[in-house]
Amino acid sequence: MKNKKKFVVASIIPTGIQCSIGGYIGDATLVTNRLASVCDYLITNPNAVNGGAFNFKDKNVLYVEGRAIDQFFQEQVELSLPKKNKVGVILEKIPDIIAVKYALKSIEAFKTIAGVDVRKIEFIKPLKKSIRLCDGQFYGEVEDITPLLAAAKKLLRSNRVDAIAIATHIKVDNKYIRQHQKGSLPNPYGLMEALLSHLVTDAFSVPSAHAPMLTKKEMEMFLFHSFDSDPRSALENISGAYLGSVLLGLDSAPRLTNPGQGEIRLKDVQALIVPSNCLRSIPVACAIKKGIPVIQVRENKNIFTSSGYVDHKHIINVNTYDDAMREVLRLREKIK
Amino acid sequence: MKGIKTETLFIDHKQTEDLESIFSKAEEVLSRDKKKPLRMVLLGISDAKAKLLVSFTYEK
Repeated sequence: MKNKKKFVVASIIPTGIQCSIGGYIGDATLVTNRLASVCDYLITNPNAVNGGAFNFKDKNVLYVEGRAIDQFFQEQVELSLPKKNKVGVILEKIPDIIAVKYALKSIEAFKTIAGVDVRKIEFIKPLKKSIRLCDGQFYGEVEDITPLLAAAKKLLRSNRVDAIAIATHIKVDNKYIRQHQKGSLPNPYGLMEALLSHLVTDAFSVPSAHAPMLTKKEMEMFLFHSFDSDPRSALENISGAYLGSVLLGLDSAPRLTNPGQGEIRLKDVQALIVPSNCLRSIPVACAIKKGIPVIQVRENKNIFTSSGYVDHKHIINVNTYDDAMREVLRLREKIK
Repeated sequence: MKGIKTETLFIDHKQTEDLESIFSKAEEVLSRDKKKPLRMVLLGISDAKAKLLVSFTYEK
């Protein structure tokens, strides 16, 4: 089975750039699963499929943390085939007891009902985090990341977990949340969530993902004051705890291996699919260099109005994700 | 103590330079100040400068 030729495609939908598909939690699941239906494996970032309390990704969708996707494209890591993971959880012990209880209940539910193998919960004191809006994008800052790194180290060393879920509270101005829910701002949580999971994955080469904890007041706002929201934010409206999607994703997330030891390598990747005007990331840079076709999907509009990098012979522009699927099928036919 | 920050970063850019080279240069600039990138996004190129949004860890 090892190194048998596989048809692998990557689809990245970055967080925090107000993608028309994938700008809300879980709303890129349908297109992701459609793309996966024409591949052996589809690599994607958690943002594309995390749906609050739910995660409806198909089994051959490989849930890979964004920093690990960068490293995979830079050929610094490879991926194992999905297998059952032992999951450790890092939980911020915030003063709002409802938020902590909801997170704990969520862990209990997904252990009991979905069979997620949660081995240990490490509590940490609240991290000092802040976000600010600048030129339509959120910037993030964390003053001291030592407690997060120490908790991850403890889970990996003492409890031998394979993947780490992180749940913390991110304080967001209510007006930003309302603007996001009405479709006029990127998800204000996105960047900070990405930074916390990037940190853990980068430091320990382990699958990870972040779920926000909501206080009672925030839950009320999401649940009861959201009837005029964009329908794409509906999963945000019905999720009290967001940890479920992360636990379901990490349950079978591919483990990261050293180069030469993985079952999925960059040479297996036949295409990279990105939203409109997103020729601006490390995976795109590496794909262009390696001659991997990059498919840019026009229907997935976002805050970027220009292409980012100059057009290149390896860029294929398509209108919709269905067109992207047809391109993938064409590529698959070509290599048969 | 270690922290995380997001900043915009401007680096010199030659027209012939590819995207990978932009990221390598940005990483080099950050590493001079003992900063390790976690996330880098090219925002745009103008007037021989590449503008990036970079998030990185730093030591206090």
